[in-house]
Amino acid sequence: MTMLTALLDILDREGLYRPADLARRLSVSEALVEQMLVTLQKAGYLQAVENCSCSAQRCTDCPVQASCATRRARLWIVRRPAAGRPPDVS
Amino acid sequence: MTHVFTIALAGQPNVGKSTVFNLLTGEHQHVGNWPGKTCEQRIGFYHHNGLTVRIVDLPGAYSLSANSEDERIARDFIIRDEPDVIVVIVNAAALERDLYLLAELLILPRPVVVGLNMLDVARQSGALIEPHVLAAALGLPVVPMVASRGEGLPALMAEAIRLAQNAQPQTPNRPEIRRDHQKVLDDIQNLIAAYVPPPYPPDWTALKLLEGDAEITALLRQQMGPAWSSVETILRQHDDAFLAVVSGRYEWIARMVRAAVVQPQAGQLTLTDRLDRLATHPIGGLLFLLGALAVLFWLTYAIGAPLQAWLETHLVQAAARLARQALSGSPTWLAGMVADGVISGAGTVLTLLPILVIFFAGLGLLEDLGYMARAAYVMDRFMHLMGLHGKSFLPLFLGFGCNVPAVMGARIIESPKARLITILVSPIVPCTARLSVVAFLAPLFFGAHAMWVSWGLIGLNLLALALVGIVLHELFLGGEHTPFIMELPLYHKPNLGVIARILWQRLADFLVTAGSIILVVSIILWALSNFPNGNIETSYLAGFGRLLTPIGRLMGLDWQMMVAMLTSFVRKENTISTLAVLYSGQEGGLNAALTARLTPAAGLAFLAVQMLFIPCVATVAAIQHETRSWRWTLTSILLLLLLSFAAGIGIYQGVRLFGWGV
Repeated sequence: MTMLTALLDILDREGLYRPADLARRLSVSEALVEQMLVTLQKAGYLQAVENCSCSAQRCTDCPVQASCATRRARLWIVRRPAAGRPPDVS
Repeated sequence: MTHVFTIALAGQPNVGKSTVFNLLTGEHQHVGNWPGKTCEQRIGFYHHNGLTVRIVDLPGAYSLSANSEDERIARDFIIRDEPDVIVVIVNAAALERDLYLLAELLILPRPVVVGLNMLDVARQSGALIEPHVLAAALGLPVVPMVASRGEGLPALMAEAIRLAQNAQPQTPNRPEIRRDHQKVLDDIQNLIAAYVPPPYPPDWTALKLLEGDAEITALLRQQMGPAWSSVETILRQHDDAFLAVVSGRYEWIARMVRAAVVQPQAGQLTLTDRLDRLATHPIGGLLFLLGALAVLFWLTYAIGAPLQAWLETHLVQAAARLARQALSGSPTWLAGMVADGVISGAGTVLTLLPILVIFFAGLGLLEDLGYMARAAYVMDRFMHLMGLHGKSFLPLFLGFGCNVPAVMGARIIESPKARLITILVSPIVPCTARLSVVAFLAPLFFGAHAMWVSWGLIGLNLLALALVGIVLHELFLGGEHTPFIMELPLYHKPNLGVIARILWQRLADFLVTAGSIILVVSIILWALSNFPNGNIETSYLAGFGRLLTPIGRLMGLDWQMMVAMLTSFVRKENTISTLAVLYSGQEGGLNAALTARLTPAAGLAFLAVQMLFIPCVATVAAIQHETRSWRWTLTSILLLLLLSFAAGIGIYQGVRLFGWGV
């Protein structure tokens, strides 16, 4: 199994992952995982979550921004964890 | 005669490429625009031993995939202008990231020299890189450099000129496509070979087609005409080709890094790494979270509750007495409304301030430390065990602050069914308003055991959330899930100014509500409890409240407690202001009245119902808005009514059965 396939295979098992977890499982450095995440994001496999994902609400208007768990954490949602053509590639 | 070579200076952004370009070319630079583009083009000249080298500084590019204008310009120049040599500058401190561009460049038939820059930064981070080993692994010349000090530049240029003068083609160690796709690549290459327009290399073009590169796909579709259909058929049959191509590059990078880089020893863990070993551990992390919240609740009860009781006695009751004295000459209803409605009602809610200050300051401290993201991470694992995971965790976690953004946050969930489940279970998350009511009432009923009771109530909500979530998940989704990746922020020293701002935001919101909604509801309740004849037992409110007595009796609650429960629909804190209005005439004030009238079993049942009761009107409005369905809104209300009363009745009857707290 190749590296990106292995990464997507891990993500296919659901849950919340940190790049450090993924690096340990793939036996590569965290920096390489970061780079793979960038590639997968550009290809449409991952979607970056911004502003607590409250798409209609900016952080400044959010009543719970003070205790928002993800204000400083970067988050990605896996759009298609199984192997397949990236969503935005024709 | 001066011989002129062209060198393309390539690299990802922030690798020190501009420093290299400036040091090499000095004042011999020309700055313009790339033809037909708005991006700046920088060309300079380097003179050495009678040779003139034209250096073209390419825009910083992460890859040659034409994801951006800069990447498109860089790849077009390398392919169309065919420089004599490509000098790739890589940051030794971020080798994994920078080698990706090199992996793509090696597919193109141009000689390459690698400038291994920022070696000093890499050394400081603890990484030991061996340039000669990297050179052997790559099959390319690698020149160690510290461009900021001018180190390595003459050697870099000497190597580039040597390659430009050398007619022998390079044979680098190139990345390979995943083995099971090699035949696919060969087939595509054979099919397109006759159609690839020069100067595009056919093997590179075939790879780009497998990657799904839109620009190259459009070019070949146009060039091939009807013959394109056979290529398209193969591409459709191999929809994972992108992964096969890109994985090959990452495996190549991993091999190169393993060969040439000695990573920092495990002993050199950062503070964040060390703390996260506990804070994100599957079991230890959950215990740590429980411990952090236990300390927070303990501080809230140990310091906040006595202060609240003091304020109740010395501020609210004293102010009510003063108001009655001051208004002794005015109509009875006016003195009653001010003393019992405004001061006892809304005023009692204001005595919650010490509790809220400690609770919100504690949450603000945890947030500013960077811990709350870890709490979300640990909680997701916990919810995952309960069948609630993936995208649902984020809005549900927001629900601990307030249920309204939790319901609205469900918009991120693409699946309508999963979104609906998240909306339906969001109000079960104990928001700070519910918790503040518990923080007020639990010490009255349970004294020193209040913290454990509060914990049990939060546990009850999480259990209910899990059960409802599992049932709805199984009913609607049948195992559908969405994974997350979360990069946790570094821990850092808390900033008191930031915590103060967080605290003020929350308190300001609370004070505005106390001064508006809660004040108005208190006055209305006072009026309903005093009309038509000034006797609360025969008032309109009592008449309505007694309709609820049959249900209340099953939980040991009188009609006043049931009315207090109902008014929490407007705003959760209204429970306290309502009780304060209804028990305002009692000796010793609200605290004494509640402890005298309710058994611990009834108090526990009341708190359980309060925690699971239908949410405030703002949350219900958000549910209607997000589901666009009155049917689902009413379903949510009905679900929570059933859940809360079932819990209240179950707890009261269960406790009585064992003879506890009666």
